[in-house]
Order: sequence, then structure tokens, then C-alpha cells
Amino acid sequence: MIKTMDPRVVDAITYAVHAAIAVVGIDGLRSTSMFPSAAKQLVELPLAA
Amino acid sequence: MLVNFDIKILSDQDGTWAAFKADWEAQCDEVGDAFDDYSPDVTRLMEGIACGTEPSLGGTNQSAVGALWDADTKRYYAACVLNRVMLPGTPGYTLRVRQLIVSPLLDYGVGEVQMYPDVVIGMTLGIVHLSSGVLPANSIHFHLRSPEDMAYFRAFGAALDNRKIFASVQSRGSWLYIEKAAAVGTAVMEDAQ
Repeated sequence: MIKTMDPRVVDAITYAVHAAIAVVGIDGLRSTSMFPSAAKQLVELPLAA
Repeated sequence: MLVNFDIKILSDQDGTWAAFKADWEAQCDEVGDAFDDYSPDVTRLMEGIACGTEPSLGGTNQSAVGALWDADTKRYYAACVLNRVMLPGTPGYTLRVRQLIVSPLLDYGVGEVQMYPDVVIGMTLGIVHLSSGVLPANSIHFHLRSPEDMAYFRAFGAALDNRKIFASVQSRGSWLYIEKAAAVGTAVMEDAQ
């Protein structure tokens, strides 16, 4: 796939992904909805009566 | 690893959905999860689209499931729902990217940290590749499902827009819009091979 793509597109997307990760960090990336376990962390158990 | 990624459209008819499901079931086993519990709303939607049981979008619009395949490890590392639609007031098709998720091995942190950017780059390239091939579209819209998505994709969009490869890259509400430039395609570059 990548070998058949315009190298300018490959370079730009590679650059942009690394730039975004530099901003949000690996933990920021892992907290996106791309990682299903990040959503699981939002589940709150009901408090005991 | 990156160079051996490929994007596949999953289908029940050619066996790719079954292969994908078997791989993610095995990945779930490796991390102590169950496939039926792994983002079930997303995987059930994907199954419905891949198997043709999900209602059609109508007209010439179409839905598909794209998955990132690594030829080295023979595993799938990410998948998403793709809707190719003709939106009102637009001159051509838009490829909407929804429910983008990584595989269980990545979600559970198995593997090297470098896998995260590699897989995200591979999946993004794969989507752009599809938009110039089997799902041709003038625009690509990524749906952002959470505040964390917005933080990542806005940073991604700003960096990508600065490279001036596409006509424009903009964040609009819960979407990241990539408008492709006519002069810059992703087609086969014979000279580059």
C-alpha cells in the first residue's frame, strides 16, 4: 500500500501523526476513542446504599 | 513494519471478515478479554456491514469496514467503519470515517510503544489510499467521538494542513475535514517503485 502511494502524502501524514503525538503524548493518544479500554475507564460503578 | 501494512475491505463473501474476527478473537485470548466484550457496539456494527445484514445507506452511498493488515505478523491492528456518501451541497463523494478502533493487542499495551504511531499512520494512510481507489472520494471526514479525540485530531489536522499536501484540513465541531487537492493524488507512483 505505502509503496504505491504518493511519497509526499506518506511523508505529510507521518509527520502530522508524530506532531500530534508530540502535543498530546502517548497517553493522550491512548485516551482517544481509538482505544476501547479508554472508554471502559469512564464506567462508574454505582455507589453502595 | 510500516511498509508491510495494507488496508483491506472486510467481507463475509471473500472470507476476510472471518479471518479478521478469528485474529481479534485470538488477540483477545492473549490479553484475557473476550471478543464479544471488545467494543461490542463497534464490532457488531462492523459485522453487520461486512456480512451485509446492516441496512443499506441507500442510493449510490455505501458502507464498508476497513482494516489494517500487517503482512509481517499476519495480524490486523486497526479497523473502522467507512461511509462513502454524497453530502448535500458538495461536488463529489465524501468518505466518512467512524468507529476507528485499534486491535486488542494495542489496546492492552502489548508490544512496543512505536507500534502506536505506526498503526495510526498506517490506518490514516490506508483510509487516504481507499479514497483514491475502491472508495473514491474528494473529501475525508474523521468523526471525533470524545474530547480526547478532538485534542489529538486537531493537532494532527493543524500539522497536516501546514504541509499543504491537501487543499484544506479543518476541524469542524466533531469532525476533522480533509479536502483533497486535485493535483495531489495517492495513486500509484510507478517511478517510486
